[in-house]
Amino acid sequence: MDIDLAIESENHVRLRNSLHSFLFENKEDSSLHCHHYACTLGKWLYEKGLTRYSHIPEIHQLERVHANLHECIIELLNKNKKEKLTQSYDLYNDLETLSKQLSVLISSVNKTISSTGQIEKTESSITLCDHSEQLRDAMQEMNADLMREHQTLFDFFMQAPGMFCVLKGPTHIFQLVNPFYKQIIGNRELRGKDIRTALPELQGQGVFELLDRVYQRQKVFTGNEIPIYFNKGNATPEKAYVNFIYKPIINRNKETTGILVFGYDVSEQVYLRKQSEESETRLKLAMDAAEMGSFEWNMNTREFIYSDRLAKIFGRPKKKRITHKMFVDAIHPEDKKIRINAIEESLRTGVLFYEARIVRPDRHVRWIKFSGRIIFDKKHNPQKMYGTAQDVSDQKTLEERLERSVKERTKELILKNELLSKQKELSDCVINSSIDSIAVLDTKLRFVILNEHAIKAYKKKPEKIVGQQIHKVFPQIIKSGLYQDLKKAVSGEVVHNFNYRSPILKGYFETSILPLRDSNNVVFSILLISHDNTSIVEASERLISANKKLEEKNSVLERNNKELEAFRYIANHDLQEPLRKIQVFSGLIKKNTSDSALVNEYVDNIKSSSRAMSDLVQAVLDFSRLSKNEGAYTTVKLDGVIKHALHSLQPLIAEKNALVKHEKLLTVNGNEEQLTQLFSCLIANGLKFSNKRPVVSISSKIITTNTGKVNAKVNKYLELTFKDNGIGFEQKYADQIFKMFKRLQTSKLYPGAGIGLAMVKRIVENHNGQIFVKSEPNKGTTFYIYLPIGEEL
Amino acid sequence: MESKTLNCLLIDDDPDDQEIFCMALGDMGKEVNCTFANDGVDALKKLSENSVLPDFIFIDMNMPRMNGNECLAKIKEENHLKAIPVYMYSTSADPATVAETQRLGAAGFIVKPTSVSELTKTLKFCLK
Repeated sequence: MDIDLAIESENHVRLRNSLHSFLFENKEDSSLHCHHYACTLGKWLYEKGLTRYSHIPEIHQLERVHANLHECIIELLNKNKKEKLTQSYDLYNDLETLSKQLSVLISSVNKTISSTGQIEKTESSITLCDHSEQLRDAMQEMNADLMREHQTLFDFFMQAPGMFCVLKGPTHIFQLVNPFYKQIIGNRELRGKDIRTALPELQGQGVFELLDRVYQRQKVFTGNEIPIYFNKGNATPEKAYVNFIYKPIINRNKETTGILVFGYDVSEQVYLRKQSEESETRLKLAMDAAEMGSFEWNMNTREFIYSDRLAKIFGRPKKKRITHKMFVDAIHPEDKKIRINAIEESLRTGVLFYEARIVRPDRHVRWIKFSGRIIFDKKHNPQKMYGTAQDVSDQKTLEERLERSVKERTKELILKNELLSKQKELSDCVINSSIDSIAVLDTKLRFVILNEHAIKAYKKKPEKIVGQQIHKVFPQIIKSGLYQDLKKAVSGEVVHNFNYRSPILKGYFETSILPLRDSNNVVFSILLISHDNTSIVEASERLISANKKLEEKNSVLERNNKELEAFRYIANHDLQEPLRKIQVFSGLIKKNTSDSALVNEYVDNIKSSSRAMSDLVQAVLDFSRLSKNEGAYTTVKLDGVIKHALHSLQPLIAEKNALVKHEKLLTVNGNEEQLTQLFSCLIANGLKFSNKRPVVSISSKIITTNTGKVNAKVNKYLELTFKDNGIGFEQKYADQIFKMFKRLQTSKLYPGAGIGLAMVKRIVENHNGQIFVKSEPNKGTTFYIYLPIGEEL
Repeated sequence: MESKTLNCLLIDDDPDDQEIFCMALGDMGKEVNCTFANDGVDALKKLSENSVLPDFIFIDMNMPRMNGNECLAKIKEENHLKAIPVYMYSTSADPATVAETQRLGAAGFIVKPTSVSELTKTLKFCLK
């Protein structure tokens, strides 16, 4: 025999072991990849064995099993590559069987070949004695048994439904780790590593210390539901509850060599239990919070189970039992019907709900809310009632109190409302009976309230005004002071206007505009009160106008008085003077009748005095006529006036060889006779007070008041200028020249009554005009006369 | 009695009255020098120019430019003139006018008479 079948048998057992090592320890062996026709046994079978020993039936069986075994290994290797672990474990099981079959078949074939002696003995086999052969068989048998045992153990280890591992040495190096264990730590490679390096996440969880203790003290540790955080490759370690047994492995010398770890994951159970515990706790908490008592009533057995709180609600001591009857009897007699109805209802619907009073043993009455459910059997017969009872007396009392207080408040509110509406009625009545216009506007100047007087005054329907802005209703106010005043009031200012010409209503009003402020001092409305002052203002205007007239009259009177005074003086002095002279000279004539020359002189003096007196009387008459200011006022063409004046002055002009120049003059409203007198007097003045050939120039033009030449009462004036080249006078005498009988020159040199300029002034005043004079001695004099032609200011 | 010649100034714009005043002085029986001024302005000028001051001054009330009272007031303002007795001389004499001249310091008020002899009597009284 050119092959040792026993060795081949061992080789194939080894092959199986290699595969095991590969599967569970990741040790790869190239011999595993060998095909059945390439291995020593295969070669022998196909080259010699099958033909030479074809008479041995087992040899064919051996060939099939051998081929299957190798194919199975290769398939397993392939599956494992694809990480089809379950399938590879199944294949491994098949392989186990095949391996065993192979061993038995090799042994059987070997026996048959040996016994028939048809096997060519090799040199080595020949050397084996019978005894040694027997020994070898026995050894082989033992070995196989051991292997089987080892295998069984290993299988159990690997397939155990719990977590298994063997830790070696004091540093707890993983020697064996089963798939379950690997699974819980996220399939990390552990073998050959100490536990501290391999599972660092266990640091601080007490596991290492526990293992050390078990190793040192050689005592088994059993732990239940130990929470352990494992790193399964996710971001955060996952919590698992595990039951563990740590068993020290002790050798014959009673030394610890390692620890056997067995455990199983009980997380799910723990979580489930915890969940149910939690929901139970929650329920209890809810019931506690609601102060609910619970009960269970078996409707068949009449058994009544209840919580302590139920007893408490019913005012019963904890220790004393309450029966269902006592429970029912406690219901207030008046409410028993409620309970019966509720029970009947619950038998139909399965749901119990009612509120009823109970009477406690201490006669206290409490309101209880009952709710529950009825469990029926398949035939809809009620079996059990589960329910809760809650003392709602406080709520009820609260409800009742609330209801009562709501009623009371409602009553109060109605009363207050009535009071308010009465107050409103009163205030409306007060506002409406006011003789003033009262309006309330909001800060956007929209009408909010108007009293009847205001509505009447505005002559608009209230619905067309209320809600509208005042300047939309009365656009004319935008440019008025009222609008500005309203805006001032919006900004918080109080505006009071004593005499206001209303842009809305015709007339004068005393207006008060008041900002109304809320409790935060913010303006929210404007109160506008207008008191009609029109009649007072008009009366006062009439009074003012009457006063003015009176003043005018007064000044006329005053002037008349002054004139009267002047007349008195004239009568007393100026008229007496020529009379006195006549008397003196008459006396002198009488004394000197013999001296005819003297008599003639005195008679001339008397004549001259008489003429002066006559002139004076005429002048006074003229002046008094002017004072009365009689005659019509018409449109007077000044060209006509000057023509007339010059005509009457012709003899004087001729005598003095004077030149009177004038341009075309304008037209003015006035008294033609008086104006002619004015022209005559002023031209004569220019001719008279002159010591050379008189030149008098007259001109007229229209001026506006803004030239400042005149104390303006109207917009336009006619300016008349009379300029001469006469003797003139010092400007300081300018006022005196207009006074009656006031002379600057002696009457001998420049004869005249001394009344001409006084008359001129009076004529100007009669025309509401003004007169000014500018003069310089020996240069000449200019009179400026301003006669109004514009409208009154 | 002393025979001192009196100096007299008449301020009056009326030449007739100047003549009547001269006649009256001539009838007094003593030598009186009389100068004339036509109005107040003229008089003040003469008073400031002449070295010999008059012993008496007579002022007409009603004159152009500067009236009698104004002239009186000016004279009474001047230290060297204020001691000279001033008589006012007028056709009419209403009490208010007379009182005003007294207030201003006039020595007397002469109403122009209707005859020369009457004036002579009055002047005799004044020039005592």
